[in-house]
Amino acid sequence: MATDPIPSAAPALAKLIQELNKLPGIGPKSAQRLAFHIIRLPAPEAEELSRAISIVKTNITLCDQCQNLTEATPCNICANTNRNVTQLCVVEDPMDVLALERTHSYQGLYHVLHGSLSPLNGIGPDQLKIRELFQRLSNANIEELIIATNPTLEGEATAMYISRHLSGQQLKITFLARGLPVGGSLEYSDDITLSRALQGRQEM
Amino acid sequence: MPNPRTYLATGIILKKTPFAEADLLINMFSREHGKLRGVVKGAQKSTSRMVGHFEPLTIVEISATKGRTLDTINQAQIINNLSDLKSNLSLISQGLYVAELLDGFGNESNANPHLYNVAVDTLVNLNTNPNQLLNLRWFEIHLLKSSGFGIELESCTSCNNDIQPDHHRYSPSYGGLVCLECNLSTQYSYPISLQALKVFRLIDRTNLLSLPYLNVSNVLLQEMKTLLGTTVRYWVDKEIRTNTFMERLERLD
Repeated sequence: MATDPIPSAAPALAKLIQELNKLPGIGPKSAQRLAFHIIRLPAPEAEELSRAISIVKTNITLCDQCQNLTEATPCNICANTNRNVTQLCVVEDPMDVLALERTHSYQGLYHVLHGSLSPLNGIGPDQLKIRELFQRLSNANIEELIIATNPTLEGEATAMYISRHLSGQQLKITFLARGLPVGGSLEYSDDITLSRALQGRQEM
Repeated sequence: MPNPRTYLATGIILKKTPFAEADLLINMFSREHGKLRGVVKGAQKSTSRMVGHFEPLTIVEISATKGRTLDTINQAQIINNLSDLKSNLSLISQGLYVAELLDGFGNESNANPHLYNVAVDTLVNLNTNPNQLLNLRWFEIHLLKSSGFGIELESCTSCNNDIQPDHHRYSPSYGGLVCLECNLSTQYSYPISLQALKVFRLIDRTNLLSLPYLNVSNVLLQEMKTLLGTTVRYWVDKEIRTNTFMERLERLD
């Protein structure tokens, strides 16, 4: 049962703390700090914050092509005619699209799955945007499918599930390379990462 | 003088969950302490030297410090990564089934080294010997045995009389065979073929590595899977989520 964050606080303040406490990574203390910060904000700034939350909830939708978060469908990336429409990169979350876009190294399209297969948590193919991916692949002229799921057990299982489903199709399926992070050190790398790095070594 | 708050443990990673900004909350089943939960600081960062050690279905040795609510894992060393298992989707789903049952049957801070060995043997055999069709059936029977719910396969669980061939039913709630004289309601018991009973007895008394490759028909495999699955679900008292995924994969094949 949830405990009252501050028993003696005004109900409105207690409610705000309770709601902030539900955000990821926000504990009761942080929720209190944020709530008091909001109270001290000038009224227009607090209203701006409230409006931004409200607008996000009403305006943000999923792009009907790539399933990424967008205000208009198709999204900016899908609607951009300069992108390479023969490459499709499959990612787990909308944040992964932002990370890949920051690299400026990829000019193809995306497909967001909104998670990865996690049988232990009851997340199967039907809970992800996998069916939409297969539909998209059957309708579009995609030549290369880049599976960029996370290098975790769940991410790898998702990649294997997709590639198993698409086996036998005229489609090049690739995975992101696994290996050492920039700034990392060989000495402290785990055996799996090192062996993956060795397997994926490149000629200089 | 050794710090009493620090301890070592060897175990199987069952689950990892993102925790706070860049930490991971790890659930593992250890030989020394049963089920454990611990936080690994900064393990979500790609430059963390711990990042690859805590994938589910990895056998690791850890050094941890006891905390008020959660322990902190300071060091880890991989003992067996089960890399072949992790490169095959069907084997991953079977490994996760083992992890889910371990989580369901294991107790927190209560060591069960026999159950730990059963789980490790199963995972290692799935990794090295995936063609053994009875890996998971062996695990289920020995999991129940190690957890105190061993299946009675020789005499009637109701009247204690020896079971006569083809004169018995199987009851998960009674913990094994029931003779027809005891006339247990069909609501609580299921028919079990003589072949299934013989395979159960063989599995029950055999080490996994010594278990022969039996030429078992699909019908018999399905019968054993259903009976043991019902028994496991009865004792763990919840739906086994990984079952749904395994069935989905079987349909895909």
